[in-house]
Amino acid sequence: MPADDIERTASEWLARLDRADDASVRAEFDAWYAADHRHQVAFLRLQQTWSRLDRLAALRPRLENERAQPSLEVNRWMARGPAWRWLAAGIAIATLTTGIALFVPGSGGWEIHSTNTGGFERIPLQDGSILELNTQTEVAVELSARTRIVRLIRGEANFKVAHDARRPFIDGR
Amino acid sequence: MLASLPNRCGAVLRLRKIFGYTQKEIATELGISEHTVEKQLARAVRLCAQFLLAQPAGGALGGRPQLTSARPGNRHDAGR
Repeated sequence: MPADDIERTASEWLARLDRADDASVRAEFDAWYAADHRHQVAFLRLQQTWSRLDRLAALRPRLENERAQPSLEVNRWMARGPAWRWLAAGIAIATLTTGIALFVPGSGGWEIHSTNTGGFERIPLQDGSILELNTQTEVAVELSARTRIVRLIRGEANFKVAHDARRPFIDGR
Repeated sequence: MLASLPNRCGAVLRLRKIFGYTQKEIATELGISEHTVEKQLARAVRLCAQFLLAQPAGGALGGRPQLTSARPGNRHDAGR
């Protein structure tokens, strides 16, 4: 069995055991695991990754905390790779409770982008900026000749801002 | 790293690992089958393992700027 197939099978076992670790599944798994040394190597490697991913749970209080208070922060970093033309980019972690949203749908040239629970969208804008919407997020965007306004209605969004000195990028909260 | 995953795959992994949903709860929340959740998680762990393998030691989780990695001490007010 080629290595890729072994890895795939190992990952399927991991997910299956995560779903239901009952006796019959376990017995079948044990047989597969014992059958080949390579199965063990592949499974243990993926299991290690799986365990490391538990660290993501540490993000939860912060996400929930930030969700609770209306704030918008932008964290700038320099371009990561030569292919990226960003002079500046921002991380915005922002939350507005729906009641605070002042935006009225349908006015002017606003474009609405949204995600459902668990969703994630990467949206390239016309000016070259990229919006990344995390779960349950809604943003309104207006690109005009003079300004670029992004208004976060709810949720969390990451803005990678394309540099354009003539058109400032505005948090239109 | 999470942002590098395909949409549904990343969503399933977020719900499982950040929010601690069971596979069954994820299936209900997203309106997909448990079988699909299982397949997406299997795919997620493979992609994450490949991603981590490609990283320099130590810089593993959240090494790339992303939504969930606010960095205290390097913050600016947004465009004001």
